Amino acid sequence: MKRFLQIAAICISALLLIGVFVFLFMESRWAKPRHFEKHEAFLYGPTGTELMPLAVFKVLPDMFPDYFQPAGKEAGDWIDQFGFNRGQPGVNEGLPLGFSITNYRPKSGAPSPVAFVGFSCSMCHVSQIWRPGKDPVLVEGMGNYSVDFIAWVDAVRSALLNEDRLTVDSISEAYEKKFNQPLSFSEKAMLRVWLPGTRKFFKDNLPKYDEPFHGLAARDSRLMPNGPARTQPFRNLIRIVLDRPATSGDNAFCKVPTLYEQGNRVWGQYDGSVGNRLSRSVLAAIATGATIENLIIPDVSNGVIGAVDYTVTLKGPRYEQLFPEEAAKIDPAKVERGRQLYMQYCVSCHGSRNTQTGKWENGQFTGQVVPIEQIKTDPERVNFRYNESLPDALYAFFPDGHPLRPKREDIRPGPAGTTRGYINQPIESVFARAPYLHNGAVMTLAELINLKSRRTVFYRGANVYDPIDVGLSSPAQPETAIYYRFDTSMRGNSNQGHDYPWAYQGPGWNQAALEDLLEFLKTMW
Amino acid sequence: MQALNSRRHITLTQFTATFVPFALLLSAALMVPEAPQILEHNRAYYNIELLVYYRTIFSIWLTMAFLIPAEVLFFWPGDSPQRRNYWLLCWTFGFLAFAVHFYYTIGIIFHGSLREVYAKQGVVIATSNLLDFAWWGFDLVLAWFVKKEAKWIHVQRVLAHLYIPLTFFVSAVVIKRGFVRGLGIVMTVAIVGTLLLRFLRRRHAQLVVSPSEV
Repeated sequence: MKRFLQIAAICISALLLIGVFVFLFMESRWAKPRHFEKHEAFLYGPTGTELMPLAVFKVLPDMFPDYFQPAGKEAGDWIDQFGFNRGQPGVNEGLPLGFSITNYRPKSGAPSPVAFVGFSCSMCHVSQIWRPGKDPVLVEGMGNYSVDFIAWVDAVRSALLNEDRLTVDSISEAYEKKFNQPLSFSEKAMLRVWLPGTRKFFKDNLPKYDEPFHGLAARDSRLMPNGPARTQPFRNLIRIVLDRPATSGDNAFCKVPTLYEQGNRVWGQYDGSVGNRLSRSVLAAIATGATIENLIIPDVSNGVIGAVDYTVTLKGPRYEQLFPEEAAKIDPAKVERGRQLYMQYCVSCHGSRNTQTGKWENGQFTGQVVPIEQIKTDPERVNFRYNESLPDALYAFFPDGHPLRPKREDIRPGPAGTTRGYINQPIESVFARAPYLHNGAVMTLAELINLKSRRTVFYRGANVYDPIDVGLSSPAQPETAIYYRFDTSMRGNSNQGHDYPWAYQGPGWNQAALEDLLEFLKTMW
Repeated sequence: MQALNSRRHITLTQFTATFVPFALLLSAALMVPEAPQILEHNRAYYNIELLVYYRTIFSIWLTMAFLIPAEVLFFWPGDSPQRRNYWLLCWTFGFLAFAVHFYYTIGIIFHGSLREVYAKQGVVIATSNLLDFAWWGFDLVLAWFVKKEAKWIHVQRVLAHLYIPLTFFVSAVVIKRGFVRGLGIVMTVAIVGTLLLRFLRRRHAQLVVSPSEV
C-alpha cells in the first residue's frame, strides 16, 4: 500500500510538473511578436485595449439584437447602426476597421491561448464620407463622423452585465449555431475566466460609470449626451486616474479629432493640453482600457508608435478627388478673392499651404491657445471640474522610469501654460473635417464662417456630405441612419463663437466675400 | 571527511520524499505568479516582466530550500548510504531549481546575452553566478556518473559545498532583503552548526582515543 501511494505521489507530481512545463511552453507561443508597418499599425495595430475574446465579439451582436440593432433588424447590422467602417472579408478576420486582434489578455497583457479584440486608431480616425448619389469613400485620418462609440460601449456593457442572457453556455450555443462548430477547449476555458472577471470589473465600476443604456435609449440625446463622433476626452481618465465618477458638471464634449499631418502641430487636444503626439495616443489608449502594464509590451508600444508616426505625414484628401463634378464648377476668380480674404482674416491663426513647396506653413498665432473669453465657443471643454488637478494626477499615474510616462511640461495646465481656451491649429483639407468646432456643433463650413446662420437643431449619424456648403447635411426629421438629435442649446453643445471673419449679419458681414472664402476653403488641402 | 561516492541504491521512499516536494514546489514557483491573472481576470496585477521576476524569485527560494538540507547532509558527521542518497537527491533537485532560476535570469531577463549579464550585474556577481552554475552542474555529473571517486573529486566537492553557499550567503544575506535573507540566515546557521558539530564530534573522538594510546 505504501509503495502504491509513493508511486502514485511521484506520478501525480511528475505529471503536474510536466503539465506546468507544457503550459509554459505553449504560453510562450500564444502571443507571437508581430511587426506592424506604420500604415498597418494605424489600421489594425494593438493599443493595449483588449476587451473581449474574438469568439464572443463575433456572436455578441447576434445574442443581443435589441442592444446592437436598436433601430430594428431591417435597419442594418450593428456595424451600420453604430457607424463603424465595414472591413473587408479575409482581412483582420473581416472585422470592422478599428478593431485589433491580439493574443494578449485584457489589462495585464499576459499571453492568451485565444484571440482577443481591442481597438486600434482607425476606429475613430478613419471616416466614411457619404457622398450624395455616389459610393461612400473612406478617408484615413478624418475623424469618423458617424461612429457612435460611447453608445456601442454602453451596448457592450449592457450585454456583459446581463447575467441571465450572457453565460458561457449561451455564448457557446450562439457560436456553434453561427459557425456550425463548437468552441475549442481553450476558448471555453478562457470564457470561464474572462466572463466573471470582466463582469465583476464592470459591476465594481458601476458607481463610477453608471448603469449603461441600450436599445433606443442609447440613441436618445437626453440620455446619451455625446452622440455620434463625440467623446468626453478626459472623463474616463478622471475615473481611472482620480477614481472619481466624473459626472458632476462634466460636459466636456469633443468631436473625434482629425489627424492629418500631425507633424504640423506641437500641441494636441482642442485646448492644446497635451504637447507630445505619443503621450496623446497613450492617454487615449488608457482612457479606452489600456494599462501602464500592457502598453510597454513591445507589440503594443510599437503598434501605438507606428500609428502615431503614420499620422505625422498623413495627407488629407483634396476636394476634387472626392467631389470632381462640384470641383469642376468652382470659379478660379472667386477662389483667388477668397484666398485674399483668408490671408487677411484667417492665416495668422491657421496658417496656409505653400503651393510651391506643398508644405503647410503655420501663421503668427498658430499653436497659441486663445482664451475662452476671446474665442467665445462652448466653454465646457476647458471648464470641467478636474481640469486643474488632472495633469498632476496623470503625471503621477505613471511610475518613475516608465518609458511612456509623459513629461509634466507636456501637459497643461502646468509649466507650459494655464490659459483656458482653444488652440489655433492648422486646418489642412479643411473641407474634410466636418462637423466643425471642437464640439461638432456646426455642421458646415458655410455656417462656420457665418455665410449662413448656424443651425440650432439637427440630426447626426451617417450624414450625407454636403459638397456645396461643405460639411454634413441634416434631414428635417430623424431617419434610421441619422437618428441623433443634436440640440445646440444643451450644455456643452453651444454652436456660438469663432465669429471670423465676421459675426453672422453683424458689422462688416459681406455675403459675397464669404462665398468667395468658402470656394477657397474647398480648394484648400 | 568521508567522500560521498556514487554507489547508491536510492529507495522509493527516498526518491518520493525529495522529488514530490520538489515537483510540487517548482510547479507552484512557476504557476503562482500566473494565479492573479488566471483567477482574477481584468486586473493589472503584474506584467510579463513581473511574471518572470517572480519566477526567478520563487525558483531561488526553492533552490535554497534544497541547498540547505544538501549542505547539512554533506557536512553531517559520519556516513550512511541513506544520508548519501538524500544528499544526492537534495543536491540534484536544488540544482534543477537553480537551473530554472538561471534560465529566467540569464535566458529571459538578460535575453541570453552574457554581455548584458555582465553589464547589469557587474563582473564579480556575474562571474560568481556562472561559476556556481557550472561547478554545481559539474559536480552533479561526477556524483551521478563517476563510480569510483578520486581524491580530487572529493576535494572539489568539499570546495563546491563551501563556495556555493558562500555566494548564496553574500547574495541572500548581505545584498538582498526580505524572505530570501531569512532563508540565507537559516542556511548559514545550518551549515555553521553542522560544521561545528562535525568539529566537536571529531574532537570528542580524538579525546576518547587519546587515553588508550597513552
